Amino acid sequence: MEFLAQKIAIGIGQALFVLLSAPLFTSLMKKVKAHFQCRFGPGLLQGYYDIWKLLKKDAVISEHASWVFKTTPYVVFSATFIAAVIVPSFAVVLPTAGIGDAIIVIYLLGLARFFTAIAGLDTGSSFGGMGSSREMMISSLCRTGYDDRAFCPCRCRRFDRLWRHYHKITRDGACVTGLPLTVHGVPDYSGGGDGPGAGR
Amino acid sequence: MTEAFFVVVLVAYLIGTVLPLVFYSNNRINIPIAHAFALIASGAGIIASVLALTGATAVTVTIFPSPVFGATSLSLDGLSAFFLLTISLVSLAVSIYATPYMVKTAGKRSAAGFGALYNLFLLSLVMVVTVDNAFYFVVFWELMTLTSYFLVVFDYKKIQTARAGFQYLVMTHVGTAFILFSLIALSVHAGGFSFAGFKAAQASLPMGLKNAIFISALLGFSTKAGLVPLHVWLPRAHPAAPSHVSALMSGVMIKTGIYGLIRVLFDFLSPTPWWWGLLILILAMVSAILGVMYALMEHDIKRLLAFHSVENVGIIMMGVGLAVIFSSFGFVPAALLSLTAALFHLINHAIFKGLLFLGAGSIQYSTGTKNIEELGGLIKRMPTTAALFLIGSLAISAIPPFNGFASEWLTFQSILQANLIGDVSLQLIVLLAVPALALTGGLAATCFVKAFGITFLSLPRSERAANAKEVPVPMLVGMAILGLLCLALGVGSPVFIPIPWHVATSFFNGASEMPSFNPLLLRLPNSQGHASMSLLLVAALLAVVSLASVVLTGLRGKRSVTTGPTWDCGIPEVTPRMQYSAAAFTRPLKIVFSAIYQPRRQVEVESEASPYFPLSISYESSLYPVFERQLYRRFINTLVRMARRARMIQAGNINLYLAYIFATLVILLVFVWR
Repeated sequence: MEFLAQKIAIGIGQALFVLLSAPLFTSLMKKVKAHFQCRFGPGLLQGYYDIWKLLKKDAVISEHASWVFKTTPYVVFSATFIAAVIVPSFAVVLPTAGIGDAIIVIYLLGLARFFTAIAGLDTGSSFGGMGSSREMMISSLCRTGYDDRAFCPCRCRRFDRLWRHYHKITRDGACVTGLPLTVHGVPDYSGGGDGPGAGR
Repeated sequence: MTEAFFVVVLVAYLIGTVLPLVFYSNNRINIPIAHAFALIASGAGIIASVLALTGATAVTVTIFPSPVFGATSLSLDGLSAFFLLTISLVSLAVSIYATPYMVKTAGKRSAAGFGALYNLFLLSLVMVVTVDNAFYFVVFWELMTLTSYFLVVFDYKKIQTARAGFQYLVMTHVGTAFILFSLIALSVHAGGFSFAGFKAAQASLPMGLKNAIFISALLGFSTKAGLVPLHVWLPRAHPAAPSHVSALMSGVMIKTGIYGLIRVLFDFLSPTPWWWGLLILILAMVSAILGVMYALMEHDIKRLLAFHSVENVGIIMMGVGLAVIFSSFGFVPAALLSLTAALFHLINHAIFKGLLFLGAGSIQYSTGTKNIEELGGLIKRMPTTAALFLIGSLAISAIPPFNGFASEWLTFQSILQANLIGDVSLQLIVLLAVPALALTGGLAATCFVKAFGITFLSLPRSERAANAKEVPVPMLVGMAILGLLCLALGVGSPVFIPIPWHVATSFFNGASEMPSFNPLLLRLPNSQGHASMSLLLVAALLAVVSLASVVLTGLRGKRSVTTGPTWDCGIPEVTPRMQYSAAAFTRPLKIVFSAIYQPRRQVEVESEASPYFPLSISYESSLYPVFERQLYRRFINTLVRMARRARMIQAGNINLYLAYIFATLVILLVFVWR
């Protein structure tokens, strides 16, 4: 019983960590990108400032939009958040470990992407259409890439050992490969325009 | 008990076949009657199959004995019962949906014949999957093909429909010829037509004959299932039929091909060599990818859905192929997992494809068009249809927590068992299925963003779409049943999966039932320990987190929401023509995969004085039909050339024919003389 309570506490702690550190990782990625382009880039706390500012703003919704447009932010947030919670970022024993594996994480991000794309088509603007077309093109090709990355041990030589190792880490929950997924997955949607295609 | 329900199924379909014809001239009576009996039969079918699946012994109903071909007995063993369940679930929803749809589609024509054929078609489907005698299997198979042909050509005055029907008829009959060969070869070897005899004689089959039987069974059954390259009839015939029949054909009928293949492979031809499985797996991967790619470029919603059937048959066949590979190496648990994945995806596909075709039917019902480029804005005019179509789209794109994801997850798990295989090169080929399946899922999601987004969202692109109205309640109920099943089989997958698992155990020696059962969490043993997934928890978490985020963002107090027109770069008014079209949406992928599509386009600009001020621009684009041109056209050309040569003897000259008669006479005399 005490163990379960501990597990849940760790799980909640990790969820909060992922949630609160996601803007930091976005800014970090922007900083690194800027560095490669010989710019200074925004500060590391810029992601938090952006969110704070966006939260204070009023909303403008197109008269052509339907409920899809209004629900999309919540669907995207919760799908991405759950994907991040399943992935063990630092905790080894998680209450959410049984929910799924790398596959469900990838497809949960797919749920977020699906709604982002249909919301883009919802307002009737050609810019929204352009964005969602691009997003789906990149992501449908990229998802294969994501999977390749998740399953990369199978391309290695010492096949069996690595394979078993990979499965052990997904099963037990201590997963190093999980971190890049989190870094890639969360800022996708909290950070705005940085699609997975742009990040790669 | 089970027998009683099964007899009710058969009798209700028979009454449903005869009774509508009695009220031939009155559509108000014959349409409801036909579908009411189909509904009763489907309900009884669900009960019978569930009873048979949970009961221990197989149920057999004998209809009439024949001294030559053996008794026609219909038996419900695990596999048959599972297919009966699939058929009955879809036909239940379709029969509820069909009445108002048929009233409008038939118009002034009598729908009595159609209603009779509808029941006969469903009856033949049920009999095909339950009969245990090769002779009657072929008879019912033919009955199924012919009744479905007549259902397809209901709208026979349209030239495309007639042509699609003819192509369907020809292709499935070529397929039937192959099936006939394999079944006759089996019965000659076994010395009888009964399936039990085939099963008993399988051990003594010589390898060469076994391979021949397998190849012809694969060709025959995959024609029906729509596996690439034998799929060309499918995207033409399915859209030509009335939508509720398309739902049955795409959801259920093509599955009989898979039923036949599973039956022949695991019941009559085991043990199987591994290369059979590899062949199936490779064909399946090609089908899955090409199916979804062609679907992506399709803007006729029913053709789009038909191409998705090619894709999903590919995914199902991946499981079948893997099961053959694993069982040939003796990895029983892995084979069991693969076949379970195939069966589970089969029933899931039947459900979500049924839902989507019914949705397409509703769109056609209220707008009169299938072309999504003319639609738009339907979510405000048909809100319930839109929500249900969205559920179907999410399910087919393998998005959690719906059923499509659950079975694709199982398929992923079975591919990942490849590490059991000792041979590294084979292992790597099998593992190619992982990126293939991932690419398929990604492209399917793109395709359904297009299909849903362009059809239902933003502004209507035509007058017809602007005047659309929600469809009548029975049609909504039919779709809602399937929509609920999409969710139920997703979140309830741990409860449901033991059923296909149990069905699969009968094909492998030493197979065991599912080791652990937990209604919340699906936990499967695999070569690395176990894999687990819980869509129920995912769904619950999604709901909780969404609600929490709604509440949390609401805590800051009400923020003002302004509603205004979409920004349009300062042009006075947003018009539907400014929106993204389906063709534009998929253009990037058309360029990425241009090697496969080989797109052709024609742009004609008409201008008077200067080319900078065109009067009109016409744009036409098409894809190069690779299979039709490269494979079928050549085959047909060869056939025609041979026929021309054969025509030499038919010159039409009466003297020549007299000479033939004379020559025949002389030859016969010579024979008699000796």
